Amino acid sequence: MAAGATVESVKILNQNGVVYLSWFLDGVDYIAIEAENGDVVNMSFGFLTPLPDPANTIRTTIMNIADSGVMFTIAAGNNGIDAANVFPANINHSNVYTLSAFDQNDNFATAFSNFGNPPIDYSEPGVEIMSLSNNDGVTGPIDGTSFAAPHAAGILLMEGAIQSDGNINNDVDGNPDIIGVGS
Amino acid sequence: MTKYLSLIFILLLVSACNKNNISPSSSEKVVNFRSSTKITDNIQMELDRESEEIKRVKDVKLQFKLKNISDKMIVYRFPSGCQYGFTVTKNQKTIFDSREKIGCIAAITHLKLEPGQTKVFPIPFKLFDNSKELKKGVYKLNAFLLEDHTPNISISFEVE
Repeated sequence: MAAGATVESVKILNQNGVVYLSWFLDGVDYIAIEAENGDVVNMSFGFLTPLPDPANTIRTTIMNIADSGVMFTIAAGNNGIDAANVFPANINHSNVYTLSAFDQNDNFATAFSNFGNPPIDYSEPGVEIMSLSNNDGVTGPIDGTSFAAPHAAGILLMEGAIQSDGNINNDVDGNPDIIGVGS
Repeated sequence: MTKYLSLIFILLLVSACNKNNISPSSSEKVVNFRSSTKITDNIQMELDRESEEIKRVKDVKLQFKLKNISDKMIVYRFPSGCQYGFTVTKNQKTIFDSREKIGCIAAITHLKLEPGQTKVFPIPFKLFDNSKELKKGVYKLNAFLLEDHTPNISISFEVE
C-alpha cells in the first residue's frame, strides 16, 4: 500500500507482539510530538480489559492528536466480539478509523473479526494476507484485522479520504460494513 | 468484693487459655513450593519459581512450561499475539491480572506443540510494577493459556 510513502516505525510491541500500556503511552507521546497534519498512524493491536488509567490518558491524547489533522487507522480486533469493548478500537473521532476484515469474496471474516458500528467505520481485506512472519523470517498467509487497518492507512495517506465500494456480505451484526477503497 | 475480683481473674485466665488453644491453627506454616506440576489433556504443565525469596514485585519471576506428552501434534489458536496470561490473588481477591495491562497485535497466531516438545513462557512480573513492595501474606499465581484453552496451573508463594 502507498508505494513510495515515507514510513516511520514507532516500536512499542516486543518480539511476541505484546504491548504494555506504559509502552503504548510512550509511543503516543512520541506521535504527539512528531506527527503532522495529513500523516497517518496505523495501530494494529488492542487491549481487551485495560485499566482506566492510563488508557483514558492515551484515549485523550489520541483524540487531541486527531484534532490536529493526524489520521489514525485501528484494527477492530479478532475476538469475534463487539469492537466497542476493545481499546483503542473503540475510539470514535472523525479522524480515527476502525477497521473490520473481509475475505476474497467480500464476506465478513466471521471466524474472527470484531464487529459493531460504531466504532467500525470501514472494512478492508484481512483474510490470508501474505505477510512476513516473526518465525525465522518466513512469509505466509496470515489472518487478522491487523492487516485490514494498514489498507485503510495507505488509502488515507495517498488520497486523504476513503471512498465506498459497496458493503461486505454476512456482517454478523446485521449492519454491513462499508468496503473502503481509494478513488 | 475479693470474691468478685477472684471470679473476674479466673474468667480472664479462662479467656486467655482459649486464645492459646486456637493459636496453633492460625499460625500454621504455609509450605512455600518452588514448583508446581499438572497434567491436563495430554499437556504436562510446570510452573517454576526462579527467585529464592520474594519481598518485592521484581522478585516474582516464574516460568510457565507446557509439554506435549501425546504422540500427536497439539495446536492452539489465538486471536492475537498474546497466548498466555496470569493472575495473582491474595485471600481470594485478585490483586493483579496481566490482561489489564497487556495489549496484543491483532493477527491470528497458533501455538503448535510437536510430540515431546516444550514451550516455555516467562512470567516477567517486574515489567508491571517493579519497585512496589508486596505486603506480607500468602499469594497464589495462576498461569493459563488465553482464549479459554484448558491449560492452567497455580503456585503459591509467601511473602514474610
